[in-house]
Amino acid sequence: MANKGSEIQIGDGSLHIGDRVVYPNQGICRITGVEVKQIAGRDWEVVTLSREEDGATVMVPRAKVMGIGLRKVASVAAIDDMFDQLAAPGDDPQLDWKVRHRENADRMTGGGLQGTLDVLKGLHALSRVRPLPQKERELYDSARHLLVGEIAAAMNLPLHVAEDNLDYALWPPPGMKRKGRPLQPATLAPPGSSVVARAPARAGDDDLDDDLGFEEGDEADVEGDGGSKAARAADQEESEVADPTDTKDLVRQRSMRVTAEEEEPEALDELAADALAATHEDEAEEPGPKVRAAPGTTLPQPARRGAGTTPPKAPPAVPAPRAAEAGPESGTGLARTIAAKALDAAANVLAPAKAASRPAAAKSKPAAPKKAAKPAAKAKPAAARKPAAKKPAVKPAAKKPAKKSAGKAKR
Amino acid sequence: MIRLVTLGEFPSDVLEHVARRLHAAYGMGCEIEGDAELPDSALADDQESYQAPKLLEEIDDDTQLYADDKIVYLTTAPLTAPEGPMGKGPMMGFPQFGGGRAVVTSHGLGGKGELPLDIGLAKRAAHHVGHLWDLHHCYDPRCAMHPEWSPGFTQYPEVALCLFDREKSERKIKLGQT
Repeated sequence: MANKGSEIQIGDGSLHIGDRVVYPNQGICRITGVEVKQIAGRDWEVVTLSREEDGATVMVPRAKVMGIGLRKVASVAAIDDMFDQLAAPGDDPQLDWKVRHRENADRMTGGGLQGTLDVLKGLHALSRVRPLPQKERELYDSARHLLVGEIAAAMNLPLHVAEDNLDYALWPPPGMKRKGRPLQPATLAPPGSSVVARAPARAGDDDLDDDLGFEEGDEADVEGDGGSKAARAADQEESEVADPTDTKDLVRQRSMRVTAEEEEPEALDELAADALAATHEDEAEEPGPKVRAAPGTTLPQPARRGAGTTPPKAPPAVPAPRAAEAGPESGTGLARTIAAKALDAAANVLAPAKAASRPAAAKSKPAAPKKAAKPAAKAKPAAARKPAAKKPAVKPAAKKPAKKSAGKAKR
Repeated sequence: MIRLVTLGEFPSDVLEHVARRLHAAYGMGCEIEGDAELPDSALADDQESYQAPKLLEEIDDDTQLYADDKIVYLTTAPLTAPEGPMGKGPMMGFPQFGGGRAVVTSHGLGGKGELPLDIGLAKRAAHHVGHLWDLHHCYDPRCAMHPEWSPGFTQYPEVALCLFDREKSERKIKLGQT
C-alpha cells in the first residue's frame, strides 16, 4: 500500500515525495513514496527512497526521518559558502588520531554539509603532512564522494565538473581565483613549509606504516633534502595543535617521537656496547682457543682428541655460574648483572629441592660425553662407534618394564 | 575491455603506448578500435574547442560491445565543460563519471613544462578511465588519479595507481564482470 503525492509531508514538513534528499553516508536519494509495511507483526509507515547512484531502495520509518539526519539537498548559496571555506587556507590537521576519529565519525553520522566538508578538509590537510591510514583514506574518499554528489545535485553539474571544481579549491591551478582573490597555486609541498609531498614517517604515530603500494626508492626522490626540515615543520605544527587541554595521547605521541629522534639511538648503542663487552669478558675467561675459533676454520684441537677420556665443559653452562659468583660489583656488563639476579632468584626458588636437583645435575654430566663423542669419531672412528652402539641397547631395557607394568595393569 | 577510438590523427606508436599503459594500469585488455568523427554539434561558441559532455552524448559510434566496456576517445582538439562555482579551469578530458565513455585531449602535451605526447596522453587516459570506474582524485602525486593540473601529475610520468585506487578499481572491474 503506497501513498504517493506531493501533498504528503514527511518529517518536520519540509520534505515531500519527489524531493531530492541527502541520506547520511549514502548520498543523494529521491523520495519515492510512503508505504505501510508489516514487519514483525506490526504495521510500520516507512518512507521509501531511491538512491540515485545505483537505484537502490532505502526504507526509513516515517517517525525516524529527521532523527537519522535526512535533509534536503543544499542550496546553491550553501554550496557557494562551502567553496569559500574550501578555498580558504586550511587549519592545522588534528594529529591525535583518537580525537580525529571520534570527530570525523560524528560528523559523517550527522550527515550535514558542513560536517562532511570538515572531514574532507581535515583529512586533506593531514594528507599533505603524511599518507592517510587505510580507514581514513576510505573516509576521505567517502566524504569526497558525498560532496561531489551534493555539489552536482545542487548546481546541476556533471559529476566530473563538480569534482574538478572541488579540487580547483583544494589544489588550485595557476591563475585560479575565488571571488576575485587569487589562490595560491598547488605545489608538491604543503603551503608555507619545505615539506615535499609528504613528511617522513615519525615514531610515535602508530598508524604510519600504511603502504601506498609504491617502492621505497620512489619516496627518496620525493622527499629530497627536506627530511629534517619536514620533521621540524611537523614538530612545529604538532606543538601548535597541542594546547594545555590536549589529551594525554598527544603528549605521549610527542614524547615518543622525541625519544625516537634523539635518545633512542644512543641508548641502544650503550646497551649494545655493554652486551658486547660482557660477551667478550666471558669469552676472555674461557680457556682454550676453540671457543673463539672462527666458523669454518680447521685449527688443530688437541683437547678434543682426548674427549673420550676427559669430557669437556659444556660452553653455555660455564659462564653463568661464574657471573653469579663474581657478583654484579665485579662485572660492569649489564648482561652479567641480569644473569646474576636471575640465578639468585632461581636459587631461592629451588632451595628446598636441593636433593632433587642433585640427580638432575648428575644426569647432565653424561650429556657432555655424548656431545664430545662426535668430534672424537673423526679422530678414532672405530673407538667412537662402540659407545654409540651401546647406547641404543639402554632404551629397550628402559621400555621393557613399562610394557610389563602395562601388562600388569591390564590384568 | 578498454577500447580506444581516435577522433583525430595520432601516430601508431603513441596509440600502442597508450594501450600498453592502460592495460598495465588496470590489468584488463585494451584495444585500438579505429577512428570516428568529431560531431560538429558539439563545437563550442569559439568554434575551436568542443563541449566535452555534448561530444560524448552526440558522437556517432557503436564501438561498445559489452555493458562493462569502457570507451576512451582521443582527440587533439581542446575541450570545454560547463563552468562550476570556481570558474573555468584546465580541461584535459571529460569522463561520464561511473559510466562508459570518456574523451581525452592531447591538447597542450609536448609543450614546455608538459609531458611528451605518448606519456602524457597515456597518463591522462588512465586518469579518466579511472573516473569511469568511480575513482575520485587522489592526494598522492604519484598516483594517476592525482589532479591533472597539479605539478605532481607531470613530475611523475609513470602511469601507476596508488594501492587504494588499485584495489577500488579492481573491485569495480570484478563487479562489472559479474
